Amino acid sequence: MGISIAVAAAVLLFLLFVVWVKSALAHEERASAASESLKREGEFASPCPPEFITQIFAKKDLEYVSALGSPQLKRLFAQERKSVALFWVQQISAQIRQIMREHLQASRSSKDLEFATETGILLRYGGLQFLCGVLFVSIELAGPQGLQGLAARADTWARRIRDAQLGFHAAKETGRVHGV
Amino acid sequence: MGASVRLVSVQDAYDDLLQRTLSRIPCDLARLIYLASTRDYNSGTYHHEGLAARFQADTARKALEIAHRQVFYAVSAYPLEDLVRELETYLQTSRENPDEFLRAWQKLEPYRVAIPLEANPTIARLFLSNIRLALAILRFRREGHPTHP
Repeated sequence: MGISIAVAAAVLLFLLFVVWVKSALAHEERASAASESLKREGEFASPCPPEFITQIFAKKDLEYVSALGSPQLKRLFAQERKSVALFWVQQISAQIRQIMREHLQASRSSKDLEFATETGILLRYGGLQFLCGVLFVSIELAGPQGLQGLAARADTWARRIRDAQLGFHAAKETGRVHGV
Repeated sequence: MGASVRLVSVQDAYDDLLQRTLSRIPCDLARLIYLASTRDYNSGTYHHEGLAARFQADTARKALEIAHRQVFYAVSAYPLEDLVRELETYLQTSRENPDEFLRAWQKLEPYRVAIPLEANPTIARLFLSNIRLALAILRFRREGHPTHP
C-alpha cells in the first residue's frame, strides 16, 4: 500500500515536472516572440489597466456561462479566456525582459551604480519571471479563473520594475543615478 | 463658416459629438461600430463631415479618436452577460435577419475593425474573445435553448 502510494506520487511529480518543462519552454518561445513583436509595435508604455486583468482572471463570466448549461459554450469560454490570460502573461514577461535589457544597456554606460539597487532590481526581475512561469503553468493546467491574486501581484511587480526603470532613466538624464 | 462659430477645443468637439451623434445611438457596441466606421481603412485617420465643418478638421479627428478609444475600452470592460445584451440590442437595431447577422459576424468577424490603432494588445484580445463568446451565446439561445441566467 505504502509503496504504491509512493510510486503514484512519484509518477504524479514526474508528470507535473514534464508539464512544467513543456510549459516553460513554450512560455520562453512565446515570450521571445512577444518581445520581438512588442519591439516593433513600441507597446512598452501602455500596460494593461488592472480592471481588465481582474476581468480576465475573475470567476463572474465563468459563472454566467456555466449557468447557460451548455458544455460546448463552457469549453469555448475556457479556451478563449485561457488564450487571453496566457497572452497577458507573455506580454508582461516580454515587457519586463525588454525593460531589463534596456536597463542593462543603460547600466553599462553608467559610472555610479549602486550595488544594492542593482541587486534589488535583479531580484525583482527574477521573482517576476518566476511568477510568470507559475502563472503560465497554472493557467495551462487549470485555466485563469481563481488566479486573480497571483495575476494582481505579477501586475504590481511589473509596474514597480517599469517605474524603477523610468526613475533610472530620469536620474541618468539628470546625471544622478539614485533611488532606482 | 464664420470664426465665431468655429470652436477649436477638442473637448468642445468631443462634447458636440457626444450630444449630437453618440447619444442618439442606442448602445455602446453600436457607438463603437459607428466610430470605427468614421476611420479611413487605408490611413487610419478619422473623418466626420459635420464635426469637421463645425470645428477644425484636426480637432474633429482628435475628438473622434478619443471617443473611439473610450467607447472601445468601455465595451471591452463589459462583463460577458452585459456584452451579450449589448450585442442583442445592436442586432435588433440593425434590422438584419438575426441568423444571417450571426452567421456573417461569426464568419467574417467584421468587429475586428472596431479596435483602435493604439489599443493595448491584451485588451484588444479580450475584446475579440468576448465578442466571439457573446456571438456563440446568442446563437445558442436562438437555437431554442431556454436557459437565461
